[in-house]
Amino acid sequence: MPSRPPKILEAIVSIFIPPACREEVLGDLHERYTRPVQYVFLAMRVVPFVIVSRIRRTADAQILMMEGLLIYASYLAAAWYTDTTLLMDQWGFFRLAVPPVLAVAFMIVEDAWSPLKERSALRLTGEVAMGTLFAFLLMVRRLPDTLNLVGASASLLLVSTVRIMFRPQVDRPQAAAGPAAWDEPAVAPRDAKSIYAFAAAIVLIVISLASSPKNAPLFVIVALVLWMGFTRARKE
Amino acid sequence: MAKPDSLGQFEQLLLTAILTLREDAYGVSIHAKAGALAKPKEVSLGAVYVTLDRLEDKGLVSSRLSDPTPERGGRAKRCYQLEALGERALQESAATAKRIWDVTTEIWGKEWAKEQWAKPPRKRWGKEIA
Repeated sequence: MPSRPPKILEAIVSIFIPPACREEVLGDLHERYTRPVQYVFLAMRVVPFVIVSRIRRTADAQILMMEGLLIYASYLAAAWYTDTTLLMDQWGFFRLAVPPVLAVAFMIVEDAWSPLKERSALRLTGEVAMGTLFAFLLMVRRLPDTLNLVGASASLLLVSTVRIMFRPQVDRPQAAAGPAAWDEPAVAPRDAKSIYAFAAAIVLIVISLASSPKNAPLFVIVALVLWMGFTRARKE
Repeated sequence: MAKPDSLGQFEQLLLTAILTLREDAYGVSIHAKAGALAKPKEVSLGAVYVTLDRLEDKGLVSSRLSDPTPERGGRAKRCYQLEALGERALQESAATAKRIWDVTTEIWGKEWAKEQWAKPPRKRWGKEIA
């Protein structure tokens, strides 16, 4: 009986393991190897947990929310300026929510699989481009072409900016690098900057409602993202 | 000084396994030790990885990659060690468990305590098996 798993099996399993934990997980699976079938079943039971754990470590809910809202705002704006009939449709607003979900899901997986500790601005933009391209391709024929193209292009521009400003974290802060979770106050004290940001967001919403009520959702989203961005910048 | 959160039962098991294994605490050995401690319940290797990551995020344990070894196909191990906060959290959990044991044994009697060891239920974590 061979004492090591077949290389082809290991190669297949390694594709599904995020690079940040590939070394130790493949080593552990190798150590537990008895026969190919057992290896496959063990990998099938272990790898999903490893993926979920890695995503939990790399995904930042606040940043993902900002990115999702910006992509939605981009598609919403694109619909207003290119094809308003979609917005009259009963499910129009929901159809426009599909590309953000797809793009954000793609970027979550990209972050989890990213092997690099520090990513350059070019690489971050490339990752966003892949995410928006993924959403764009899946929405071809499901959304009007011009709307899809304008929405994806605007998303690329806005989300790249957010990603470069708030770079995705490779790992959550460890005990040595920062305070433990229970050291952080449950509700962060608000300082003057975040109050100003919140006030600016409210003013923006009020102005948009007063000028043209139909554009209100777009301004609400932009204001929300601005506020989230300011409070996030204050934290960092 | 920071006060650690209360630990879940599985977290306690893993911290105990790391404490016992000392320098040799890595995925497979922690899984084996936790399985022995959890008997008759079965422990999944995937759950061990998830919980180790969570313990690391909480600052209760730290990890480092060891040198590659031939029995692992030339791959490194991720070795874990208890941090001061982890030790304190485990001490608190052990003290609480001891108090619970003392009180329940006093109320239900020593016969009940013996029965607990004599007829262990066959279970996975949270799920009965045939």
